[in-house]
Amino acid sequence: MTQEERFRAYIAAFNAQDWARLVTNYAPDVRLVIGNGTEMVGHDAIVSFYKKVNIQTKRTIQVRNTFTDGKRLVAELESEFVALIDAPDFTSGPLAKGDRYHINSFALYEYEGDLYTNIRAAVFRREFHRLKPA
Amino acid sequence: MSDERAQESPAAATSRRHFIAGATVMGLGAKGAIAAGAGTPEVASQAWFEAYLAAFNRADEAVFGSYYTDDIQFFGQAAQVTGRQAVLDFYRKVREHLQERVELLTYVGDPARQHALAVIRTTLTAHRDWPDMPTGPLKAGDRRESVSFVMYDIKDGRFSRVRSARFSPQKGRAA
Repeated sequence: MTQEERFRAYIAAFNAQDWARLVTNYAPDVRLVIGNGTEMVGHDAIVSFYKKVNIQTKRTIQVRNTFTDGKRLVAELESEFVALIDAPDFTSGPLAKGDRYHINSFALYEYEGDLYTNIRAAVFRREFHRLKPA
Repeated sequence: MSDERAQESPAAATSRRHFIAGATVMGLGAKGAIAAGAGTPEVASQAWFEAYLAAFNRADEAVFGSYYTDDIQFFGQAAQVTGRQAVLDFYRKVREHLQERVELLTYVGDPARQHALAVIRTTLTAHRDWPDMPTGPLKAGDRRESVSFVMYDIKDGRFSRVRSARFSPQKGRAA
């Protein structure tokens, strides 16, 4: 399996909320910094964070592009969050049930062997689609 | 800057600069320098990209402009413009107000030479007041630092699209 294939399988696990499979891609002390600056270290911190996000929203990630230089993998991602409940404390800003939030982000995965050790992402575009105007 | 120079390929422009610098040390003439092409960095390699940033930092429009396609789509933090000349005009306006220095933190080039991602620290130091600075007013002497993930689409050895995304590490943590 190439790193690109492995990455797409990782995103599929993410979309399926298959946390057990997801964490098999992480080094034990993996560090993740997402687009809004939130930083997590280790499997438990990441899974706890995304379990909460997925109670509030249904997130679907599409991989637009990916490439690797053998040490780091770059991915351009499109994510859609659909709010399943009112989420005033949603990580990127308050959402009401039914609201949609789209982000286009660039992510950088450093890896050793088949394990991600350091993940950083930055948001290029973000867009809220609200059922009711704020 | 002549437009012809800006349309010279990045590899040729970079190679010419490097070779001329070396040739001066060695006492060679310019004619011999331009004829040489050995050592030209490969498109999308880190050396190729670093030559771009070095040219940017010394405001060498002929070289850094040669990295842009004629119809480049540029989505920077402070401007969204289309076309090489529009990008150069934008940076010329920026330099009237401030010095912009860029430092490469991480670089990943696509082996297929179609994309690259650079993590860049940008330091702006204002030498004139710029109340209308698009990312926020600056006063002379102000210094502003940021880290961005910049995605470059590459076509025929030049940047055809540049998209910059602000990275927001937690305070006190390295980018």
